[in-house]
Amino acid sequence: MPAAVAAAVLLGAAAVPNAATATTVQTVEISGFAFNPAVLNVTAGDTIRFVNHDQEAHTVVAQSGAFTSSGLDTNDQWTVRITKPGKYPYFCSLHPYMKGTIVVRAARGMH
Amino acid sequence: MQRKDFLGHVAWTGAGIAYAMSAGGLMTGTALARGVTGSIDFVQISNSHIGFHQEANPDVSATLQSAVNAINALPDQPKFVIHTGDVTHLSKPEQFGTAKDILAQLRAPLIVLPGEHDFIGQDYNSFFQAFPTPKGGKQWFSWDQNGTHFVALINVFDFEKMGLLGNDQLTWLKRDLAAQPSSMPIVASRRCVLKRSNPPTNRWRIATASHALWNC
Repeated sequence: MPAAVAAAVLLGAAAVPNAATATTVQTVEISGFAFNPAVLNVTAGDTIRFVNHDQEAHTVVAQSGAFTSSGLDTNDQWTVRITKPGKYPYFCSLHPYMKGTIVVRAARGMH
Repeated sequence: MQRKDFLGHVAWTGAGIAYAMSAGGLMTGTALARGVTGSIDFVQISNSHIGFHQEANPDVSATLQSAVNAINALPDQPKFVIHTGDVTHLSKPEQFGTAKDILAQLRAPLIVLPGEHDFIGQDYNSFFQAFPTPKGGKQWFSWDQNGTHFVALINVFDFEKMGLLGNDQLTWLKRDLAAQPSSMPIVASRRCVLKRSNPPTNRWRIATASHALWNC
């Protein structure tokens, strides 16, 4: 298993189809006190990587409580893997006006 | 170190703010420097951000250490020193450890309130283990000192709401203050919350929270 996936947080009870484990990694850049892109569309099973480019620390916290990152220092990365389709609005717990959403579509073969 | 030198020092380094209660109310270091007489009642330090290592301050531990040294050098020790939040930068165990080691050197009694950087990951225990409240637990509290009623509030439990205290704490605060004689001076302290204005610009403003009073 690639290191990026081993370090990831796995969310959702649904089994991950084999096709998705050849994992796709999508990146959200954190810079200028904003998540870019603010809305990220992924497929269930994808890995989402957050990279903090700011001098200030940030976090990534789902409003639902589904995931909570550690504190991300400058150039720190944190990954999360979401297997359950749905909308995941999230924010930075240190700067709560920083908001983003991950939209997870069902992978082919899922329902 | 003389008091005026101390005040000049902290004004320059931003290491701390000295306060004195007088007939005229709560005096800050600036007022004291203007020659207001009386001893320093308490010193406030804040935002040590132990663990921060970027360009703005590559050695924050040394900054905190210098603040502690300056306070310890005061001939008349303050009644207490209060650290109002963001002791650490990322809530990491070693950051709490370093902060605790440096702050433990203070000669005066120490009160530490949490900031949002001390609660990363909704982990409240690391902070309260390092800096227990007077009665234990994850609680706000109040105490009387030399004829002044002090209130220590915690407004970072649910920081998504930008520093609101929550009903439990407001109910407690109302009851706590109602029990004070009307002549009793009151100092309330909590995390000073900065909120970026909307639409986002480089200007920051203080988030206002209804129903409570602040010295921030």
